[in-house]
Amino acid sequence: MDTTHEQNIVEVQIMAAVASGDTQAFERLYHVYEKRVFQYVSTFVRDQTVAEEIVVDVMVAVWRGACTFTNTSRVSTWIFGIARHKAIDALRKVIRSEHESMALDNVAHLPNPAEGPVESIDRKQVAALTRQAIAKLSREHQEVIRLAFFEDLPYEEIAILLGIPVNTVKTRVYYAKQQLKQQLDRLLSRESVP
Amino acid sequence: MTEPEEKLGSEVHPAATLLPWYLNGTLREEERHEVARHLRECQPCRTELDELSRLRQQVKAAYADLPGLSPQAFRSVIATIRQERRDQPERQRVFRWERAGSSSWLDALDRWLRPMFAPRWVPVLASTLIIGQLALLLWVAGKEPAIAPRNIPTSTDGVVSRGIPTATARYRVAFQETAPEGKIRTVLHDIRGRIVDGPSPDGFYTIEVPASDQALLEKQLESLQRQADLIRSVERLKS
Repeated sequence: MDTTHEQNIVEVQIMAAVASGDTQAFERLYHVYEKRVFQYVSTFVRDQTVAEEIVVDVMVAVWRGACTFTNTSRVSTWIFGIARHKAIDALRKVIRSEHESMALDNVAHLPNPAEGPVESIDRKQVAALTRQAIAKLSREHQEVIRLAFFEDLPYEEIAILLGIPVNTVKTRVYYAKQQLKQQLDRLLSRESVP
Repeated sequence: MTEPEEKLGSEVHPAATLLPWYLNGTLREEERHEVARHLRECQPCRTELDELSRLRQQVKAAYADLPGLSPQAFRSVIATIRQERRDQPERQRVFRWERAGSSSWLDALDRWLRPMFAPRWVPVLASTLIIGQLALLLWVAGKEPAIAPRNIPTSTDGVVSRGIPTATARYRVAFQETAPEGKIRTVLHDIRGRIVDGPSPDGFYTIEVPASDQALLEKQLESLQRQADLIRSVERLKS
């Protein structure tokens, strides 16, 4: 049994407690998901204040709807499903400026051009570059990269969450990864040029 | 909407598309074996796996470093749900797991029943009822019956019947060959009798009837004897 599966079993128990009205269990669930939901919502809505408002809505919806959780998917898939729905809803309402920049773009530390390959620069710099590269991907690619690489969701659950066939999930993740690598290589080579 | 990048090129190995889930450990057992077997034979896919593994680490680090929500968001959510708790203290929130394949019906029943026992007075009432029933049962079991039927065995007889025995009598009856089955059934019904043996080689049946009253049995026998068009012969057997 993999770790994410064990984690889901624990989360299902927490959900049962939340469904029975246990506020402490809900607080636990909140702390597990607040940042993850916030970041996921941020792939749709770039305004951090709006994203935060959406997360508040999502977490209240989780509390109210815990009794409707059917345990046919992971808890994370269920919560991200609510978040996705609310984020897309908000996206339709929010008027964004054409040149709005994402917070992810504002990377403080870029690698020293003299340092060369990715292995030679420190972890924070790699993380910053990776964020920059992710921010350059399409929203669809950012979303699947996050769900498959960070949230470790099975492809079947991603398919349910996104409402697309499993083969499309596999293909999309494959090409998202290619795009991410290209962006990273481009950023690295730009930094390497004196 | 169909996007061009949604279709895989023919040069891409199908196993390569499963590598992200091979890495995050969510593939089914048979798929995992299939990918592992392919990786042993395919150098490009092994390179792809290394690259994916490195990228996955980088993505995890990139997201982990991002800031989370402000504490104000947490306060806002908690204030909302606490208000709802105050407004609806008796709200029963039950999982809808009857549809779920992975949860047993016992779990679902447990979750359905559990909220019913949430108020403190419910377990007290339930315990009182159970104790009361137990006491009543012990009292009834301890009482001797006022009039015991003569032919009901008692524990002192050595054998205790599980059923409720009744006194019976038996008749030896031979029906006329021309007697219709429907009329025979009516006779049996009228005397509340049942055929327990027969027919013998000479056409006799043994019929058992309830025998709570001897006078009634005598009348019953006379009645049977009068129905000569149906009954060729009838006699009461000694019990």
